[in-house]
This record gives sequence, C-alpha cells and structure tokens, in this order.
Amino acid sequence: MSKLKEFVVGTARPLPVILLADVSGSMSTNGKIDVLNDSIEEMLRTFASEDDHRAEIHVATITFGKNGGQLHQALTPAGQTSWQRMTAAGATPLGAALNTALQLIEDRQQIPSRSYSPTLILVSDGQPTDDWQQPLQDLLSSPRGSKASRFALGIGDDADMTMLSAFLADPNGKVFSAQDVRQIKKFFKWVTMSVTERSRSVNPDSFIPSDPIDFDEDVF
Amino acid sequence: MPNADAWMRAKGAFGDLIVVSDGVGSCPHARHGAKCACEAVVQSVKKWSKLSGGTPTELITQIEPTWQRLVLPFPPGASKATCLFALKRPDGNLLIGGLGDGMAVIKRGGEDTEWIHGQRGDNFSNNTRALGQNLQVSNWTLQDFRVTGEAIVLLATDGISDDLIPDRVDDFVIWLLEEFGAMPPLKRWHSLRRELREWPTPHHIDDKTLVILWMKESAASHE
Repeated sequence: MSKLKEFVVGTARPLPVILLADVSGSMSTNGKIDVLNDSIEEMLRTFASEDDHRAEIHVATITFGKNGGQLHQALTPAGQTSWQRMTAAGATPLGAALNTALQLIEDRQQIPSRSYSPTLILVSDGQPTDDWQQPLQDLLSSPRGSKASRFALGIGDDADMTMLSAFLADPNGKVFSAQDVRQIKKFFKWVTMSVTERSRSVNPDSFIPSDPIDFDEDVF
Repeated sequence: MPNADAWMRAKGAFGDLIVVSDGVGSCPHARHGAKCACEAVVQSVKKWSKLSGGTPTELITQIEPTWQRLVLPFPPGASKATCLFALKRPDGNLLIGGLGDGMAVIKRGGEDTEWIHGQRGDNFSNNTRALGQNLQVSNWTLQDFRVTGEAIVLLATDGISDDLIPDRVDDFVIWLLEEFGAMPPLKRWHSLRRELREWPTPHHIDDKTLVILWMKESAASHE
C-alpha cells in the first residue's frame, strides 16, 4: 500500500453552507417556521443524496430568536446531519447571529483553508432588535468572511430589505422576497440548486449561480 | 476536462530552471495560458541573466508582459494561469518565485522543509492570483537564497498542495526522495504518475504536477 495516504488528507474538500435563520416570535405565524423547517430538511436531503461531487457539502445552522444568536446545528457533512426542527419565539438578535457566523468562518479547524469559499444564507421576516451593523461590518470586512457567497431571503411585508441588501453587499445581488410560504420553499430549491451545481462545477469558486428572477419552479 | 497544468525545465548559461503553472479552471484558454507561463519564465530568465546586476524584481516585472505577448491571439483574461519557478544560478544563488495557487518548498540539508510559497492563510481553495490579472510585483512571492550544501526545491500545483497535511510536508518530501530519487528517470516517471493517479483524497479531479530541483552536495549535479 502506498505511503502517500500518510501525507494526504483523506476527506473531500468541504464546501461549507452556513444558514442564518430568523426564529423570532413572528416566524411562528402563518406556518412560516414549519415551512422553513421543511425546506431546510429537504435541502439537507438533496445535499446528502449528491455523493459524486467535487466537493463535500457541509452545513451549519445558526438561529436568532429567544436564545440569542446560537449554533443550532454544528457544521457537519450534509450526509451526516439529523435535522432538529427549530421553534420560533422571542426577538430578532441578528447581530449576535452574525458574530456567531464570523467565529465559525474564522475557525480554521472547522473550515480549513482547503475548503471552497463558504456560502452564507440569511432568512428573516423582520427588523433586527440588536446592534447588527457593526457585526455585519466585521463579517464583511474579515479576511475570510469577505470571500463568502451570500444569499438573502426576506419573508413578508415586514422584512427589513435594506438590512438584507446590506448583507449581500453586492450592487448586482438580489434579495429574494417571499410573500407567502410557498415562496420560502422556492427560495430553498433555488439555493439547493445553486449549491449543488457549484459543488459539481470544474471550479466551485468561480461558479456563478443562476439569477433568482430566472428561477422557475417548474424545472423541478 | 483537459489537463490545465504545464511545466518546463531549462538549463543554460543562466543556470538550472524549473517552472510549473496551472491554468485557472474557469478560463477557456487556461491550458494555453499555463504553457505560455512556463515559456514566459524561460524567456524572461534568459533575457534577465544577460543584464549586468539585474535584480530579482526586474526579472518578475518581465514575466507578465512576456506572457501577455505569448498568449496572443487569446485575451489574457481568458488565459489566466498561476506561475511558480525556481532558478539555481551559476553563482550558487537560488531564486524562487510564486504567484497564485500551488506550493514552493525548500529542504536544505537535514533541516525541516520550509514553505516559501503557498500556505493559504486567510484564503480558500481556488482563490487564486494569476498572470492575466495585471498584478503588482508585490503580489509575487520572491526569495533569494545562498545555497551551499544539498538542497531540494519542490514546486507543485494545487491539485497536490491543497490536499497535503500541512505538518506532513517534510515527510512527503523525504518520501519522494527516498522512494523515487534513485530510480531511473523513466521508471520514476511511471511510478510517480501511478501514485498521483491513485491520489487518496476522495473526489479529487484536479490536475497534479510536481517538479523537483535537486541540488546535490557537489554543486554541479542537478536532477
């Protein structure tokens, strides 16, 4: 047997996906939290079933609600996750969630440098209730956070679209807006498609996701 | 997909030169760009070596324009490629340069292997700098050494460097020398190719190129 195995990493290069999910009290209305749970679960199943990729998709979920900004699910290969459903209650401490995301991104044990650049997904239906501007600035200006791809979903009329646009920090980026729960599912199908296509691409860090405006649910 | 790596060796009055390049995967003419990168370094070294007192920085400033001329008729932006080189000069000095992904390491005598270029730091895989981006000289790694005893320089593309366990690089270099160093060239090439094709990292599909400049105790001997 070759000695090469002793010098070479025995796992595929990770492609980290970090979801920041609003679990404030308002998410408990109109079935929003249930649909969000279902959508994430479906996304994880799709990621787990794709095993012939250039990259191995790893997923973490950070929630922000009554328990502050906390790691709901540690960064784990999608195929090894066991989804624990989220419950919605409390305020919207986005700043705390952004700080948690930054800590995770800067952790070289969890996200080694051989990883492909992370994808951050922010989902929220309301206005942040803590100081989020400085944590967002810290994330966007950090050496590793600045290289992350970002997606944003605003749910309902109360979503803070200005904040979500600031999170994208890309004049060409588009915040996806869901006026009903069906569109939450649609957003996650688009994110799932973008991430899986990226993981299959020749160069995952040069992959450009399709425009959400062009996204057609009928293709699924 | 086609192999987008290229390498070249050259020997002459300027010394002994090895070059490795990896075409940036998203560029349609990446392979052409990588081949031109190798040729651009060889041409630049030849021209630079004829200058009296040319500095390493002056050599680096010649590489990008030479490469831009060579990639024609394709646009530089569609031909981007990384560039690593090591030049052992007749005066005993060793110059190592690097731009973008991949690794350049040196092992001197019994010392541990030293990274010269390629530790990612805050970067992620495939976040690369390359010829074709009109970068400054300051974006290059450039180190000049005085080499006395035995020294080994290893240049490798990111298909290899990204999967190496960082604190096992010294053992990897020793293994390469002990396992393959004494083989006849053709047998060495076949054996190494087999090892790289059976690379242990799951789902690896990156091209893999490694080149070693081995400066033995007697300064005239190189492999």
